[in-house]
Amino acid sequence: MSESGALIQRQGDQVDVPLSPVSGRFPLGLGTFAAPTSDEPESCPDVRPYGLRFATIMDRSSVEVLPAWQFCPQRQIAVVTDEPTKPWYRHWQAEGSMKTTGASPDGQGSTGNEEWTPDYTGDAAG
Amino acid sequence: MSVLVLSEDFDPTVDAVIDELHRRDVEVFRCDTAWFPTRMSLAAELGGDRWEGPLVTEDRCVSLMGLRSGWYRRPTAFVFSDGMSGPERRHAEWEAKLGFGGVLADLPLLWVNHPSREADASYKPVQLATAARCHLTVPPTLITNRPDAVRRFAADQRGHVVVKPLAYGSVFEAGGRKAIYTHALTTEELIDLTGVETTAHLFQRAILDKMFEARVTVVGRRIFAASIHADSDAARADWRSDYDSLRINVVDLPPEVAQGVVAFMDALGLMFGAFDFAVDSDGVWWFFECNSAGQFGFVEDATGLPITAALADLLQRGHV
Repeated sequence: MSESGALIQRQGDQVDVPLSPVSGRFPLGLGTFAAPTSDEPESCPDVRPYGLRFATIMDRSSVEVLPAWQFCPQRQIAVVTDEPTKPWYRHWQAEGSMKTTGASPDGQGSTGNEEWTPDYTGDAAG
Repeated sequence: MSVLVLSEDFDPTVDAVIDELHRRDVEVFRCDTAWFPTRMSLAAELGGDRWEGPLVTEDRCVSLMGLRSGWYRRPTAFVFSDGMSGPERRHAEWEAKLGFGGVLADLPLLWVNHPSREADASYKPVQLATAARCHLTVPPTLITNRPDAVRRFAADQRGHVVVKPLAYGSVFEAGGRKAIYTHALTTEELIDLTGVETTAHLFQRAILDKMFEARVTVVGRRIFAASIHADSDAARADWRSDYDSLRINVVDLPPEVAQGVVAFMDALGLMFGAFDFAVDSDGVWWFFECNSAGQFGFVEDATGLPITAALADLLQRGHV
């Protein structure tokens, strides 16, 4: 595998080459409810990437709590926990809350901003 | 023949498509890669020139030979037993990726989209150059870690510059999550460029006379175009920042843009793409990006465009 050039060995561990990495093939993201959290504060301005200056804390003033759901292995979709015959996505539509089609990755309710949940999340995201 | 759907357990967009496939009596095998290896097993054997064998969960089983199409939606990372050490887990992750992932990626299915094409398309510089080659109109763009290059670029654009992330639209830090929206830079923000040198940044000419934005969803050869009108300053800069202010309607796509979009899909080998454009007062459609696993439910809900049905059509047919 290391002879392909796509993966190099370094001190006994595998390290991706920066471009066209093996990790980029069959890319896997983090689950919606398994997103990372970090208590690390911002670094000093000399170190912090310029683009992160404009990162803004999510406005949670209009957070909506998602109805409880559970995965139905027979139908292979999420159903409403209290009404297992009802598909969760239709219930959500009926509530008139289809601002987005996704849920909050941090499990704190939908902010309506979930469209920016990464469309593609490579393995390094964790 | 079954449709393979790879995504996490909670994905309402997927649920709607699966419901549609079930209404058509199409067999579906939905799973998440996170189920492998603890909740899902694979026994693939090279039979001639392709992989054969079963993919098995607690509730169902499908033969790799019995698949007609695959929807690579939003599968998540493999999950291993808690008892593994760090080195063991890293070893297991690589083995699973190249073994399980390799078998699936080699299956001769209609992929929406093929995992490797998905990975290629995630590089925004590739998208922007591909779009330009496909005769889509792309805003002047600079990718750099040099402050002097930013100043020169900003001068060329008369100071009308935005900065936007190349990859993730959010960051987790200080115990919370922050959004990274497209940001229109002020004169002051262009003076102090400390931090530009720390990594790659994408700067782009701001589209000042933007009339509306558009989300163009492509499924196979079918194109669904919707305009997104924003009624707040925040949403005019980045419509994701204020959903409540949006009005989403069906819009006609100029033929030359439709041709460019189809050429883009062909160039990157994509079967599904959710394109973002801005349309200015001259009627120019400015290409921003293509989300190869983008959301479309919110467009369908607002406009009635039958994107779910189109995706079900494609997956059911197993060919374009």
